[in-house]
Amino acid sequence: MDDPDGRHFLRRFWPRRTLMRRVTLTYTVGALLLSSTVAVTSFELTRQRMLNDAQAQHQSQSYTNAGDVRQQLAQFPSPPADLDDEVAVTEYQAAVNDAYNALLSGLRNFNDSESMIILDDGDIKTLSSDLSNQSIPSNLQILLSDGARVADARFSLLGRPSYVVGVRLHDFDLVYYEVLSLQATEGTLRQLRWILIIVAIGAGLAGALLGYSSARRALAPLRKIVSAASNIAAGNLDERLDLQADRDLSVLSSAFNEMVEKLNNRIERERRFASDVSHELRSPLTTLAASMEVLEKRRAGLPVTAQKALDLLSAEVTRFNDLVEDLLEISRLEADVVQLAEQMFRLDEFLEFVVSQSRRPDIEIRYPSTERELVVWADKRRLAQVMTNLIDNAEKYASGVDHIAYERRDDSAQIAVADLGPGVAPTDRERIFERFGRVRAEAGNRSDGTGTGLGLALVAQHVKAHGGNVWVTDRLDGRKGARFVVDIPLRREQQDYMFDAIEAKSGIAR
Amino acid sequence: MGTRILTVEDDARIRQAVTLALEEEGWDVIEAETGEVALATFGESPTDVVLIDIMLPGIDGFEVCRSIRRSSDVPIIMVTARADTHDIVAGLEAGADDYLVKPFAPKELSARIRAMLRRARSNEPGDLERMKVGELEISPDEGLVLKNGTELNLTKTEFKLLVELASQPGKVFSREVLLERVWGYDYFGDGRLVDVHVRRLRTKVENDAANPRYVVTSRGLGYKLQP
Repeated sequence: MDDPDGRHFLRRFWPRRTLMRRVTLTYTVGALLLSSTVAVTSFELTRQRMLNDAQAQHQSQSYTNAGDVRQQLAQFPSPPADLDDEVAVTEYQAAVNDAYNALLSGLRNFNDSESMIILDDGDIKTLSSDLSNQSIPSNLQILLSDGARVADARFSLLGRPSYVVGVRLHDFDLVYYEVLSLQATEGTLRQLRWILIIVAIGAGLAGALLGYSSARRALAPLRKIVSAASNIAAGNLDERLDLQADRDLSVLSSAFNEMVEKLNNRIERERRFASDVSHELRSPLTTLAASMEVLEKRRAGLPVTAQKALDLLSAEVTRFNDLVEDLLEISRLEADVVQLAEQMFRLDEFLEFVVSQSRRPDIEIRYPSTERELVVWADKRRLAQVMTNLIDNAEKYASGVDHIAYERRDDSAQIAVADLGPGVAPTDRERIFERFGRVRAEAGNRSDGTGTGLGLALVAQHVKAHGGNVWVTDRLDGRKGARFVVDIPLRREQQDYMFDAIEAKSGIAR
Repeated sequence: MGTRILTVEDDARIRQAVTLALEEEGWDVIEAETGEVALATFGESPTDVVLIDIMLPGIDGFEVCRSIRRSSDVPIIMVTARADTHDIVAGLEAGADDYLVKPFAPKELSARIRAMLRRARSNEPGDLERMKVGELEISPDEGLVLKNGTELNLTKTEFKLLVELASQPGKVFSREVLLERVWGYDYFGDGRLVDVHVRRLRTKVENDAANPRYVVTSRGLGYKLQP
């Protein structure tokens, strides 16, 4: 209810990770990590390589062009001797301008690079309309004016990625700049980046798929094991694993099969032991029972002490006999070799008979008036033993039976035996149906010591053999006492028999 | 001359104790410790009931049962240490009339023997008349069944079963009713007794035991004699 860590909340969004999910997740993350690392690395390498290539090519072109500029500048017209001669100066300036224009247009600019010459006096010579002295990064200009011969920088020109190389020509008090637009290169790189992102995501998805499918494949033997194990748990001890196809798994499968085999042998041995012991006990018991009876017939002729001893002996032989009978019955039931001798009969008549033969022939039998003629399909002898054992159990441990009631459920008949005892503690409600699972006698529980400790276990086995169920609850009327409920399924074919029975009733001699 | 019971049992102490208990009932008991001895003894002296333990050294109880059946319709009770369907059905198929599972109360054994003796002596005139069903002619008083004029070799139990069914031809008798009337069991007799005996009866009265014409099964209810 209170959830300090908010775990439940988290769980809703981060469901419990099954092995399958974990494997899939690992594959996905692994594939994504690997592909993105490869993508980023290769992108970076390619980018560096492309930019470096472009820049190196641009540098050498710039140097060549700078050399050309130097050569041509040497052949520039000389300034007029007389600087006051305005005409001469004007002509000279025009000639210099023309020379610059000729120089600049004569340069071989590949890849749409643009050239610019900035004179130390601030004059700018260029054919490009995009360039001005503002365009060149100022730190590059400072570097070159401070004496560096060459310098380069990457910068942004009117929002376009660009690269500039500057070469200082000392003799002429100017710097030659050549600017390369990296727009195209960057475009190519952007495209490459998108491709790589898509490839990385694709690889991640492929990883997820691969993880999922290999997890499924890897878990397939596990599923086989699970199904084999649950089959075995359900009692099908012949179930074996077959994973021989895979050498790694055949070890597992043979270990598993060996385990089942050993388990099987053990169960079989235990079963056979109980059954063998009981069988071996039959012969002496037969002798005991026969001799006992002869003695009992002659009881009157015995001294009183001997009579008492005989009574004790007789009671114990009877109990011993019951014990062996019960043990045998149980070992047969557990070995599933029992064939039910099922037949159809009226439950009310059956219960009346069983009660009349029991040690408490006066037990009240209750049923809904509409179910008076409820007919069940069962092994009469076994069901009688079930009822007798439940009645005996109540007599021995629970101050007697209060009443027996039956009713019809959807597709079963429920017979309940309510007693007057202290009830059964919830923790004991399963155990009392185990062999020798007697609950330690409490105050108020009287026991005459005649029980075999197998009565309720037999009840459970008999009912199970009928495909039914038995359990114990508190009494429904709120009074003290336990209520043992036997639930026997009504079979569909039984419906037909019931119909037949009504029709054939007059035909059955009874 | 009293009632003579032949007890075939290899376990000496069981044999002695059972003999003591049966003698207490006032019956004469002849003991045999092997099947061979039993067959020799059976041939020599008249016997009213035979008690055979299945597990015998040498020829086993089933074989003893079959050997006796070849010459006699004496009531046979089989004693088995195993309550498995297989043993019980095999014993009944071998010709036993009834069975007991060890350890049995001698009281129960005496009750079974008394029921057998009653059956064997029930040839005194009853209220049943001679009747004809198809090729069969049953005369309860004489203890005879004729098929097309030839006498059929039925055991006492088979005969009683047939007469019971014939008492109301066409009516279905539940196994329980048959157990009560033929074997003298009360509420919880073993239905297999009826089934095996019906099977044996069919091999004798039917032309084709697999498709019975006379002793017909009414599934889930019981058996009837088809008139």
